[in-house]
Amino acid sequence: MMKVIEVQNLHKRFNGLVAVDAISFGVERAEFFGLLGPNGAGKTTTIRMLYGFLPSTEGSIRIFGMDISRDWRQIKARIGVCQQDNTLDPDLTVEQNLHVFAGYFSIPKKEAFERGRQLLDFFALSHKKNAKVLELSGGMARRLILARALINQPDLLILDEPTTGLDPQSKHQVWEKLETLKEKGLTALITTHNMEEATRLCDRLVIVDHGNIMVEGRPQELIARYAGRNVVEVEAPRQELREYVSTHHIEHDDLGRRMVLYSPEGSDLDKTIRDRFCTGTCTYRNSTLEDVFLRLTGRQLRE
Amino acid sequence: MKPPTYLSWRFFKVWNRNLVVYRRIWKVNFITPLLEPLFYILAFGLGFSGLIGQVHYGGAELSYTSFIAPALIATAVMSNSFFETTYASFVRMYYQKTFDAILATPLSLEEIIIAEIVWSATKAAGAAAIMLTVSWPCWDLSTSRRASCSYPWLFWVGWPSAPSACSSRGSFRA
Repeated sequence: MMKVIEVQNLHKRFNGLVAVDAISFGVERAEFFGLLGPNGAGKTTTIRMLYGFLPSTEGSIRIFGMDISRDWRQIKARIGVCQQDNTLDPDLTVEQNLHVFAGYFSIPKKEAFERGRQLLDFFALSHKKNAKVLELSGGMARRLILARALINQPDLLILDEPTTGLDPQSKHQVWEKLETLKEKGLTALITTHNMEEATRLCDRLVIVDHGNIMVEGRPQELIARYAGRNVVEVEAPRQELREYVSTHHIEHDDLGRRMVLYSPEGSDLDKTIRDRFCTGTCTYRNSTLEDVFLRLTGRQLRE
Repeated sequence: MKPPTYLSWRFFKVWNRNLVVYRRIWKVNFITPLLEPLFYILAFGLGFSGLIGQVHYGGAELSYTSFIAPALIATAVMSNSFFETTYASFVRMYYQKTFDAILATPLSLEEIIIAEIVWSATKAAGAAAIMLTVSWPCWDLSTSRRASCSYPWLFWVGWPSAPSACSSRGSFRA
């Protein structure tokens, strides 16, 4: 079956700065695909090339089997984009934002009003339909951006950090809405650096750093492969523990004041640590995608 | 295969967006061109006419107020369209990210720019038409007939502001 997105050998250079360096991936129909990476990894640049906002320096992007550089108008008519910045029109009311946006897609007025009503209903914004955009809270603005991205009933939704800066309530509400859309068979490409979000929403994902894809797979597979089953974090590790870890070839990260040990499925490492090395504070928890992310992209600050 | 087209009638959608916004705050938009000629005529007409007296132009004898009235219209068209494609467009492009949002729809940057230019000409024509009407009593009878012919021209006079809008295209994708 034809892939919804097919990216091959994509490059983007800005005056000598390499933002995206040979990225290739594909997104299947009805799949939620994640594009993860630290700040400045090239996620937004990639997404902007996908919806034709930026031209690529090299490589090919095919969406619905069409080339973005040639058939951009047909492609853009069938995608919904939720940008990272708040791009709502502050000169218009909540409802007008949807109606005017529908106009850009040449949706007839009557149809636009009907869809606008349904979307405001779905995103629990009906009571704010005559409010000014600047009066909305962060969560409501984000929901309106999502509603606006769905006004053309897209076959593909592109979400650039859909929950960044939201409080836990709003974040979970956005996730629930996205899950509902997923059940209906929508295809989506999501960038995020919220690992919980990626684990929960994405069927498959890639982790990008320095413009390169570092790894690709399903969230649970990646966790099992790179961070084992469980994690033990030992505060103020003693020399004996360091020796034990190196002689037994245990997967670990030594952060000096803290040691993170990755224990695979069926291992009794947790017990050994508890009995022999845990003099201070030890944390036992399941491995998460965040462990994978930090192991692959390193712990240094980016900016 | 035929090459992609970057220009189409769809620019009208962006023009319409500006009209929707204009209609939301029409009182503010309406009052400036309404008051502007009144202030000018008060300041220059009353203030200067005593110093200058009658003006001879084109074989006709005009009061100073009638003499400057056409110039007020000309500068209004120019400043209105210029303001719209520089300050107002820039706010939409840079601070409000309105163009970013529009570029995620089946519209091209070229269409957005055309829409901004046509809109600026429309707005300038509208403002100047209001001014022309308000300042009508000050016009000399011999020039007022000619002035009434200028209504259709107001729209096209707004077009010279186009280069300022085009220059924003370069900065947008930089």
